[in-house]
Amino acid sequence: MNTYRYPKSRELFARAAKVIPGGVYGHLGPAESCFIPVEAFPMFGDRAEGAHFWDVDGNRFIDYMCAYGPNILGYNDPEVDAAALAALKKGNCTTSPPSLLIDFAEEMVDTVAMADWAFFAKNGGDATSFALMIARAATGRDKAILVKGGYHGVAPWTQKKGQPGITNADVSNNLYVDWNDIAAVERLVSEHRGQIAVFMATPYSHPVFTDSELPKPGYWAAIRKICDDNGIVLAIDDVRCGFRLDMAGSDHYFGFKADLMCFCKAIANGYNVSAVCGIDALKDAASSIMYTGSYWLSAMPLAAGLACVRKMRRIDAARVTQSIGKELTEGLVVAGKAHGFDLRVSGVPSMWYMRIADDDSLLLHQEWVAECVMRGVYFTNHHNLFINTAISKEDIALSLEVADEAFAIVRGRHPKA
Amino acid sequence: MPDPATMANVNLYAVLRNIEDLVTLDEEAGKLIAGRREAIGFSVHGGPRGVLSFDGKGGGSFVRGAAKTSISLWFSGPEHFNSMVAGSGSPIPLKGLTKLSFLTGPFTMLTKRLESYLRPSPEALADPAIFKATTELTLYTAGFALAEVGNADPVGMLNAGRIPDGIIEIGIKDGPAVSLTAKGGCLSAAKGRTGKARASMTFADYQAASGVLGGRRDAMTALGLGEVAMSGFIPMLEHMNKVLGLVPRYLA
Ligand SMILES: Cc1ncc(COP(=O)(O)O)c(C=O)c1O
Repeated sequence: MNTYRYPKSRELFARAAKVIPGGVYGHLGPAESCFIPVEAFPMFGDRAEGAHFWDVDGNRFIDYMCAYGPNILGYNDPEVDAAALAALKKGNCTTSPPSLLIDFAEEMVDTVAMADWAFFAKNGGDATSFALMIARAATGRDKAILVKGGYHGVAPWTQKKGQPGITNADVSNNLYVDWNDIAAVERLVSEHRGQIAVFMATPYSHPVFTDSELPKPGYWAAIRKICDDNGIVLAIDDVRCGFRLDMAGSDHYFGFKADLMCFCKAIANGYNVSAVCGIDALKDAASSIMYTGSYWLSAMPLAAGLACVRKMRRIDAARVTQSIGKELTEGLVVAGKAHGFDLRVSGVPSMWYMRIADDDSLLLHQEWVAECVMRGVYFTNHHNLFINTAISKEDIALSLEVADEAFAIVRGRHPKA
Repeated sequence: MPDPATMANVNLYAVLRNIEDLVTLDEEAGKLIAGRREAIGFSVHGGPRGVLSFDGKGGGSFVRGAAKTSISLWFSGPEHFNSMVAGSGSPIPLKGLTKLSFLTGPFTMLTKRLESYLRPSPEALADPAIFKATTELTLYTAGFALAEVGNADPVGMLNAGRIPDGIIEIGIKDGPAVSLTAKGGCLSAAKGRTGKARASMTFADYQAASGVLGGRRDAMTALGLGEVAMSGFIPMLEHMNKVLGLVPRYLA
C-alpha cells in the first residue's frame, strides 16, 4: 500500500507558526492531538464528504475522529445542510431571534427523556459552565464534585491548579472523586454538608490515554440517591456521548434521570450550537442567570441542529453508530491478535477507545496508529474515536485491511514486543 | 515569585553543577583548573549541599550531598547562597582558608565562564563550537532545574505530582540527553540515556534544542514544525512541560 506524504501541510504549518500561537492550537493541533510522529499526520484539511475528508495534499482519509465528535451523519449531510442554508438565506444573526429557537427547543424536549426545557449556546464549554451556574443559582451553594480525568471544556474552573493561567481561586470550589467510587462521593458530601451545589460527570469515564470505564452496576442509582438526599443537582455532561449512546440522552441509556444535561458535538452535525436541557424545577434558576453571546440565537445553527436531531431520531443514529463501531472494533481486535498484539477496546463502540496494551508507554500503539493514518485511516493514539452513520461496509473493509498491514509493519519492527 | 529555597537548589544542583562539564567543554575553563585537585563543598543552611571536584587531570564531577572536601563553603541560608551565585555575596569559608586564592581566582573565573555559556552573547553563539557547548549545558541546566522546580516550587510540585511514574528522556537526537525519573511525584535528574524511557522529548538537532530551551520558540510550534518530537506515555510530558514552563523564573 502506498503511504501518504504531506508537503503542503508542512508548508502551511510553517506559515501558520509565524502568525498563530502554537501554529494550530487546541485539540486539532499537532501537540494536543498527539501527532506521533508529526510527519505521519496531515495538518490541514481541504474538503470532506460523508465518512471521508481530504487533506490539502489531496490524501483521502476514512475519518474515525469525526472532528472529535460533531460529525455524526457524515460530512455535508444533505438534509442538515439544506436546512442550514435555507435559514442562512432567510436571515442569520438577526436582532429578533428566529422562531426556529422554539422549534428546536420543542424537538429537544421531545427527544431527551429528562428534558422539560432547552437552552442553546455555542460550545460544549458554554453548556457545562451554565450547568454549574444553574446549580449554584438553584442551591445557593458553591462547591462542585467532579470526576478525576473528566473533561468539561477549557473554562478556568475546568482546569487544574498550577496550570498556566489558572489561579487557585478558579478551582477552589472543585472537589474530585475517582470514577465509580461511590464511597468517595458519600465522604465528600458528609465533609461538606450543605455546601455542594452539583455533581457533574460524563455518563461514563472516557479520559485520554486510558481505557474508558462504564459505570459499575448501581453506580448511577447510588449517585442519584446521594444527590436527592442532599439537595445536590445532578448534571450530566453529555457533550461527547450525546446521541451516540441513546437518542433520549445518556442518562436514559444508563437507566437514571439527570437534572441537567449538556449537549454539543453531534447535536448539529458540525454547525455551532450546544444545549443545556433541564428539569422543570431548575427552569427559574436558569432564567435568572445572565448568560448569552453574540451568535447564540443565530438561525443557521439552530436550523442545522433541528434537522440533525430529527434525522438522528429517524434513523436512530445511536444504534447505527454502535453497530458500525462494533463491527469495526471486533475486526481490529482480530487483526491485532493475528500479529500477536493485544489491542484493548473499551467504552461504547460508537465512541470507543483503543490501545495496544503490550507495553506501558503506548509506543507500539503510536507506531501502529501512525501507519494507519499514512494509509488513509485516520485514528488518534490518545483519545476515544468516533463513528458516524455514513461509514460504509467498504470503509470498514478497507480500514481492516490497512490495520492489518500496519500491525504487520509494527510487528516487523518489534519482533519480540 | 521564585521561591528562594527552590532557587538555591536550582543554583547548586542545576547551575553550578555544570562546572563538572564546563571544564571539559571549554578550553579556557580547563586551563583554569589545570593541575588542581580540589573538592569544593557547598553547604547551605536549610538548603542544598554538594561537592564539586576537580581531579587534577582536567576532569570535573559534582555530587549531591556530603563528601570529602578540600575547601568548604558555608552559607547562612538560601538567600545568602543565591546572592553569591548572583555575584553580590560571599560565602564563609570553613575549611581551606589557605586556598582562598583558588576561590577568588580560578573558581570565580569558572563561574564567569559558565555564565558566558548559559547567557551567551549573539557573537558567541555564532561560533559553532560555543553554540554546541552552550546548548548542551543549557539542556543539562534545564533538565536538572526541572527536577528541582518540580520538587520544591509550590506550583511545580502540583504539576510534578501529576507526572505518572517512569523515566522521561529529554535529549538531542544523536546528542546529549537528560533522564528524569518520576516516582510518586518526586523527580530526579541524571545525565545520559537509560534505554528504559517511558516517554521522550527529542530535539531534532542542537538548533532546535537551543530555540526551545532558550525561550525563542514555543514547544507547541516546535512540535508542529518537527523540531522536537514527543513519544511514549504523553501524560508524563504534558505535566513535565508545565514544570519546565516555570524553570525560566529560576534561571533569570
Ligand atoms: C465531555 C466533554 N465536555 C465538554 C467539552 C467541551 O466542549 P467544547 O470544546 O465544545 O467547549 C468536551 C469537548 O471535547 C467534551 O468532550
